[in-house]
Amino acid sequence: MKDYIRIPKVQLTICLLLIYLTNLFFNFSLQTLLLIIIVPIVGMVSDLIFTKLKKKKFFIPSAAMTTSMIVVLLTGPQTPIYFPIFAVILAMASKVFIRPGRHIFNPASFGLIISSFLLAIPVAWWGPGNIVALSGKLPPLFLILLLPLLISGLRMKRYYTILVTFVSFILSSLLLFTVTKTPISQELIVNLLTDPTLIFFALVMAPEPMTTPYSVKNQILFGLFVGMFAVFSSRFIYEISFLKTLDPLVLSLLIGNVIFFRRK
Amino acid sequence: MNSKLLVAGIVLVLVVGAGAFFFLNMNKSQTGVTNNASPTESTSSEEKTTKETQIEEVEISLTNQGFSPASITIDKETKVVWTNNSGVMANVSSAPHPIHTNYPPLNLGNFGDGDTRELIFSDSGTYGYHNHLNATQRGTIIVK
Repeated sequence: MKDYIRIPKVQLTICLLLIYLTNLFFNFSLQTLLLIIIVPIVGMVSDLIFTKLKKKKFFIPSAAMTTSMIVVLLTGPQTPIYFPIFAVILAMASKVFIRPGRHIFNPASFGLIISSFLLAIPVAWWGPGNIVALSGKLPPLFLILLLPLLISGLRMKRYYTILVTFVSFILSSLLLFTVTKTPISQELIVNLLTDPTLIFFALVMAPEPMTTPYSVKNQILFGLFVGMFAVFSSRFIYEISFLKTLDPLVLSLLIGNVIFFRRK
Repeated sequence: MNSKLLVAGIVLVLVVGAGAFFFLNMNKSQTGVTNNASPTESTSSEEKTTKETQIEEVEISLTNQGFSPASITIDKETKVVWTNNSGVMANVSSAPHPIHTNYPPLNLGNFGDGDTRELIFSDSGTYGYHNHLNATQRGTIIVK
């Protein structure tokens, strides 16, 4: 058990669970409670079934737990329950079946983007968004959103991916604001720096170790690409009606996964 | 060492940003700000009063279920007032998520439970928006 808790993926799951529990504590609802029961069970069971189908050995599905937590935090209780269930099954399928050597796509992102496209339901970013909403009443709660940095930064050593994704997104946004003549106020910059969507994306999703490069140079290139692509693609996605529900951040991560798949 | 400095840098930026965010937010709630982000400006108070008496007003409520009504059609120069009844802070922002560049005046920022934000729409068009702190909550204003 001690060894199991030392696995970075498990520690990250614990951080995500803390974000979830904070949301549950301050905004308790039956739907929120059901999410944490149903989605991880579906995730772990589908991971085990898919693995069995591939005739691989059974294992403790810790990755399924992390993926399920991300799906829970990005959907939330106001999204129909079939959405996260569908997303987590697709996520596990992509992890097990779309793998020339190792899996290409960030599983949670894959499940969420396909579900968003097929079911026409957008990603809510409920968990991180709600933490910032709750921080309006209790500012220290904001620090809970930064907890995953301890794992993705210190344990997984993806500092450059985190920092460059964050900075690249902010600078690209400022550039787009300038081009589109959006007034850049002090409030706008502060809102960007504390954007729960961006913080969660940069700390939890972008640095996923199995699907992103680890050399410093490629971490920087990956972060640059993901941050910039998310900003500039959002304009085009919004203009195309059948793509409107796709989340630009999640989409940019998946495209980054493909482009950087062969780069270490 | 470099890695630790990087982590410290990231944390510092986020904490300073968060501090500024809450400071700005606190100032707003203390003064009970109702943001009128209308791009239309009046030059004298008399003109303003005359104009305000002619302005129609439409209310949109934000609850846990989302914006109600989620879609409205209004005439030009109608004032739309959003009231946050969701129980937590909300953030009305222009589409598209998460960049908010479609119609910048619609980026009304964070506002607490019970607070309101308002905007007068002067130009015809379809304006999508969402609650940035819960992006499934979306709405559309159609200005005839």
